[in-house]
Amino acid sequence: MEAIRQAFFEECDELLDQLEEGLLALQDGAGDGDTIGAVFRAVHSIKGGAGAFALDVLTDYAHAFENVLDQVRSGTLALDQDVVMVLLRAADVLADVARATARDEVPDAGAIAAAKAELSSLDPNGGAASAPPAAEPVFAPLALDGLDDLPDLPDPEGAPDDDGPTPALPTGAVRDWTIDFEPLPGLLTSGNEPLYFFRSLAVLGELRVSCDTTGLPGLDRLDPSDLMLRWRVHLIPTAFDLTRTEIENVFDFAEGLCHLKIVEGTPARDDTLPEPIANPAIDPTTSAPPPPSVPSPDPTAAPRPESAGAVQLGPLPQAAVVPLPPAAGTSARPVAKKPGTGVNPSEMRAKPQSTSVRVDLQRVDDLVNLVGEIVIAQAMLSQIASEPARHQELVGTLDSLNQLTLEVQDSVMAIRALPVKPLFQRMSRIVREAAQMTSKDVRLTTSGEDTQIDKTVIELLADPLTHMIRNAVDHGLEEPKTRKAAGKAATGTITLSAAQRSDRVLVEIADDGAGIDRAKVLAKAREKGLIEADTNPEPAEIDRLLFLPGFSTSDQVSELSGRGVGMDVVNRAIQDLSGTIAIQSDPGRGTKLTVSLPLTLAILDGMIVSCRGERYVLPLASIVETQILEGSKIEGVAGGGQVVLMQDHMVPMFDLGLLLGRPYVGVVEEERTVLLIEPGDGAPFALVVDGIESQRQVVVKGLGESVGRIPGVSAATILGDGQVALILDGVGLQMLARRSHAKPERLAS
Amino acid sequence: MSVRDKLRVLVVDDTSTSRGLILQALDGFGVRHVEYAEDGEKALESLGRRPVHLIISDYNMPNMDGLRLLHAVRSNAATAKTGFLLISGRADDALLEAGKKLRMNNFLTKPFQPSDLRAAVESVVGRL
Repeated sequence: MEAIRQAFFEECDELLDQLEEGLLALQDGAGDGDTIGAVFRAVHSIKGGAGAFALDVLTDYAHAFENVLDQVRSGTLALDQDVVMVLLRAADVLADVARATARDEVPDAGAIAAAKAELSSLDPNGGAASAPPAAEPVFAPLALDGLDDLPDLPDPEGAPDDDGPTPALPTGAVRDWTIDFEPLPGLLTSGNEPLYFFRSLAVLGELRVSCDTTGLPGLDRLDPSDLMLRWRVHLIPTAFDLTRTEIENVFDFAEGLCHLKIVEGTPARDDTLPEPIANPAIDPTTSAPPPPSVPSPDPTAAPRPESAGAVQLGPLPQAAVVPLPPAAGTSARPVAKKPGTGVNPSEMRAKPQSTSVRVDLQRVDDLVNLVGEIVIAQAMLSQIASEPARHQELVGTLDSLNQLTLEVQDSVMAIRALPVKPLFQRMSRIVREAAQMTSKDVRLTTSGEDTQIDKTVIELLADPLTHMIRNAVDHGLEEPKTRKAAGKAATGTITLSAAQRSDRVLVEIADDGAGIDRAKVLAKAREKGLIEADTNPEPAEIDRLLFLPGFSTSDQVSELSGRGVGMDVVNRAIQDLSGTIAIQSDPGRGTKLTVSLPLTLAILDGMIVSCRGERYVLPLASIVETQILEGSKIEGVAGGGQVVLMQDHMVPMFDLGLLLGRPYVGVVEEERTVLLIEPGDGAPFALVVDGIESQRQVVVKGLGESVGRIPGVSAATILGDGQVALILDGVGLQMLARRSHAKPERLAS
Repeated sequence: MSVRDKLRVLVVDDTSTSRGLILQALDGFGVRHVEYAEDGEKALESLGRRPVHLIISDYNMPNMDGLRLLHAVRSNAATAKTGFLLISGRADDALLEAGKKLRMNNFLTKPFQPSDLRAAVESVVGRL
C-alpha cells in the first residue's frame, strides 16, 4: 500500500505538470476542448487518488477545484483570461497542498481557504458549497448469466510459444549442465582451441556461454600464448540422457591443460563470472542468442503476484515500464526454469526517490547494444593481441573501440539530458507570483522547451533563472501605466527560450521593459567606487557593471528581487555551471540576458597548452583565435599593461604564467602563442602561453573540497599519459587579470 | 473450481494509482487472471487478443472514456455479453442512465474500499 501511495504522489506531480501545461495553453489561447478535458482529468485523478488514501484536505480542495473545472468543461463557466488566472493560482495551491501532503506536512489552511473562496467566486452556481454530494445514486447491478458456470474462454496462451527468440524449453525432465572451463597456460601451445570445444558442445544441445575476461592483464603484459580467459557454459541438452562422460569426452584433448568443472543444473548467479552479454567466439549459427541484459518484457518470466502487496507500482520510467505481471499465471508452465531471463522485474525497479531519472527505453537499449559491442571489440582485441602477425587488425579494432567509446559517451550523456520544459514551467509560476507582488501585468512566453541539458545543470539552473525572472519582472518591466504612456501594451512580456548551439545550450531571458537605466547604473557604480569617477565606459560596459559584486540599483531593496543578492550571485551560479551570461539592453525596448551553458559538465572540449613546463587545459569554447606571439602587433599602454591586435581589435594581453604566479625565466621560446579568449560576458582578452599541444576532449574531475576555490582554475583532468592537468576557466582568468594587472580604467581605455 | 480461479478480468484505468489499487484489491480477493489497459483503445486491443469475463473500467480517461468503451464492447458480438463494471469519481444520473442503456452491469464511485469493489464484482459474477 505504501508503494502505491508513493507512486500516487509521483503520478500527482505529473498530473500537476499536465494541469499547469493545459492551463498555460488555455491562457495562450492554444487550448481546445481536449485541453479542458485534460485539465479536468488531472484534477479529477488527483482527487480520486487522494480519496483512495483518505488524504482529506487534498481530496476536499481538489473536489472544489474540480467542481469549477466541471463548469468550464460543460460550458456553464466561460473561460476568459481572468478565469484562467484564478485557475492557475488554484493550481499553484493544489501543487502546494499535494507536496505538503506528500511530506506528511499540514498544508497551509489560509492559502487553501483563499483559493477556495476565489474558486467559488467563479462558480455560477454560487460556490462549491452549492454542490453538496448528491444522494448516492442507486444502481441495480446486472448479474452475468450463468453465475456458477463462467463460460470457458478461448485460451490463446495455449497457442505455440510466441515470446521472442528464446526457444521453447523441452518440457521433459531434461537436466541442464553447467560447465566451468578454465584453460591453463599451455592449452593454446598444445594445439587446442577453445572454440572447437564449444562447437563440439553445441552439438549436444543449446549453449549459453559467458566469458570471464577479468584475468586479462594490460596489453603490455599480455602473453599471446596464454589465454587468461575463463568460460562458463550452460548446456541445455537436446537428448534426455546426456551423461557427464559425453561432456567430458569433448575436453579429452585438453586433459591436464585446463580446470574443468561439470555440474548438473542451471548455473547460479554468482560473482565469479560476469553477466553473459555476448560471445563472439561462438559461431553465431550454432550458438544460442545471448540472454537479454535487460529484463525483457516477457510476462512468463515475471513472478506471479501471490499475495496482497505483490503488485508493486514502482515509479517506473515512462517508456521503460516493465509491464505489471498480468497476474499472469494463465498457464501453469514452469516459468522459473527459463535460464537467463529469471530477473525479477521488481529488482530492476528504482526505489522511489527524487534522484531518479526517467529515461526513454530506446536510450537504454542503445546503450546496452553499445556496451555489447564494446565487449565484443574487447574480446577481439584480446584475440588479435595474442597473434603477433595481426597488428594491422589491432589498429583497426582499436579505432572502432575508440569510436564505440565516443558513442557510449554520447549515449550516457543523453541519459543524463532532460528537456528544460519542467524548469520553464516552474518559471511561469515565478512570473505569476512576481507579477502579483509588483502589481504588474506580465505574460510569459516560452520556446525551445524540448531543448535538453544535463540533469545537474537543469537543477542548478533553477535558482539563478528564478532570480533573473524576478529581476526582469521587478526591475525590467514598467508599471502598466508607464507602459501605456510609452505606447506599449499594458501587459509586459517576458520571453524565456532555450536552444542548442553545437555543444552549448543558450537560455535567453528577455523582457520588453524599459531597458537598463545606464545613467543610474553609472551613478551608482561611481558612488560605490566600482569605477573611477572620471571614466566614461561604453554602454555595454555599463551593463556589465550589474554583474559586479554588491551592485544593486533598486532604490529600496524590494521584497521581491532584493535582499541584497544581485546579478553577481546569478553570475557566479552560472559560472559554477561552466556557463556565461551576456547582457544586452535596448533603452525603452527591453533587456535580454543570454546564458550559455555546456551540454554536460562531465566532458570538456579543451585545448591543451603548455606554460612554464606545465600543461593546462583551456575550454575550447572560450578560445576565439590563436596566433603566434612573434610578429603580433603589441603596444604598451600607460601603467605598464600591453595590448595586442587580434581580429582587428586591440585587446588587453596577459601572460598565463604571470597570472598563475609563475614568472617567466630563461630564454624566450619561439612557439609562444597568443590566444584570444572570450569568457562569454563580452570582454575578450589575449592570453600568452608557451605553446599549444593539442585539442581533445577531457574528462572533468573536481578538485575536491580540500583544495577549495582557486581563482582561474575550474577543475582538473587526467591526460592520456596519466599526468594531471588543471582546467582553467576564462572568466576566472579574466578576474585574475583585472585584479593583478589592469585596473578598471585601463579596460575602459 | 471457484469463480475467483476461473474469472478473467480486464482493468482499464489511465492513472497507475487507481489501476494499482484495483489490481491490488483483486489480487487480495484471490482473482488470478487479471489484465490491465491504460485506456479504452488499448482495452479493445487487449480484448481482441484475449476475451475476459469482466471489465472494470474507469469512466474518465483520455482518448476513449469508459462509456465509449462500454458502447464498443456491446457493439461487438464477441464481447457483447462481457460484464462491465464502471468506476467514476462522480456519480450523476446522466452517466448512470447512459450506462443502463448500454447494459452496464454495475457501477462504483471513487473512492471505494476493497470490500466495496468485492461486493460490486460479486453482484455481477457471483461469489468469488
